[in-house]
Amino acid sequence: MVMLLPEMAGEIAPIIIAFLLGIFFGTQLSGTISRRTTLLIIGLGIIAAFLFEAPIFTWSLFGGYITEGFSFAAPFISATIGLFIGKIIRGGKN
Amino acid sequence: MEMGELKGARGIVALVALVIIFAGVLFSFLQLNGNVARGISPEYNRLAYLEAPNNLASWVYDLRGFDTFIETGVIYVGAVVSVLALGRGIVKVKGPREEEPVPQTSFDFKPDTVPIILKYFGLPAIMLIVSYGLLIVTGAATSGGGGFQCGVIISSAYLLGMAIYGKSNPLNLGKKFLIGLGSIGWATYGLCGLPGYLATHYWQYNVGADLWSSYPGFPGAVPEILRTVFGDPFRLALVLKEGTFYSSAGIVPIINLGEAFNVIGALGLIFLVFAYGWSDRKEGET
Repeated sequence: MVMLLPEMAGEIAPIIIAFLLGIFFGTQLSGTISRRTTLLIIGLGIIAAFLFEAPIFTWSLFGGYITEGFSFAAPFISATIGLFIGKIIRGGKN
Repeated sequence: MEMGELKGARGIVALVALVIIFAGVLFSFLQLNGNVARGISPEYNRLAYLEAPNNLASWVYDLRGFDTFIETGVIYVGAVVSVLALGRGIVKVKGPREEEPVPQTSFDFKPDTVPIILKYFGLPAIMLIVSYGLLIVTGAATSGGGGFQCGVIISSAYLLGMAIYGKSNPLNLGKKFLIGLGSIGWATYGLCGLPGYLATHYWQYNVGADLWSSYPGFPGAVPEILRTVFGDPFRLALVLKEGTFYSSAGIVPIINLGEAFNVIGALGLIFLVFAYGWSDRKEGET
């Protein structure tokens, strides 16, 4: 079997897709976000990522696997960061 | 319909239709006698656990991917019809002047009266719900998530913003954006079937996972390049007692992205138009 991409690329692909989609939807965000709100969202996002866990098919740290029964949802974090970047790129202020 | 309306020619037509349907169903059951296969589940079990990370996703999109494609279209068409039929809005907006929208002033959104906890936690909640929706759609091939769920979740975030902030919704999805999103989603789903059709003559055949080409009697072979292009980005390792197997969900994640876009577009459009009504004016125009 020919493999053009690295092994287990499926662990990284969702993170990239979530990031790009986060940017996409972030461009539709309007209003101003204060620094305190930004920190709140990131903090809650990290907590939520640990609560949601990663799918059982991920086996590496890239995919969110830390140890048995303990993992984090990397696409969730990347989507949240993407939303902020999208907001910075094109989000409205009204 | 009253029973009295079934008298006369209409009643005869209804009776004949019922007899035909009853006969058809009855003969179908009679034909099943002795011809019931044990189902396709054993074949899927035999093939899929080695070839796709999520059996259920593989079954659904392999067995009835085309059906889901049509369902996705039905949702979008339903949204458009809802907009046409009922899109006058419950909130009085600068819409058609000649005929006022339904006057329900009690439904007017008043962001100033929103409790302070909602006002300040509304935006974080909306952003985290959107992130959650994106997590769900990216996990379509490996978990119970998928495009429909993602669409509903992100639409809920949109509705939440609408309920808390009114027209100052921070998730500012305009009608043009929503229509485009829905159209792109449906088109993405549909076009995902093209590689499979060209290779095997089965529309929506998953060329990335390629579950069936090694099966005796399968008409068509998937070229290596298609299997690589659609399979490689979503390849995962299945670590089993028997060894480590590489598998891919193939086009399932892409299909789910299309579904998600379509559902966000459809539901978002319904929410938008039901709340504010439809106007042919461009957004921002008075």
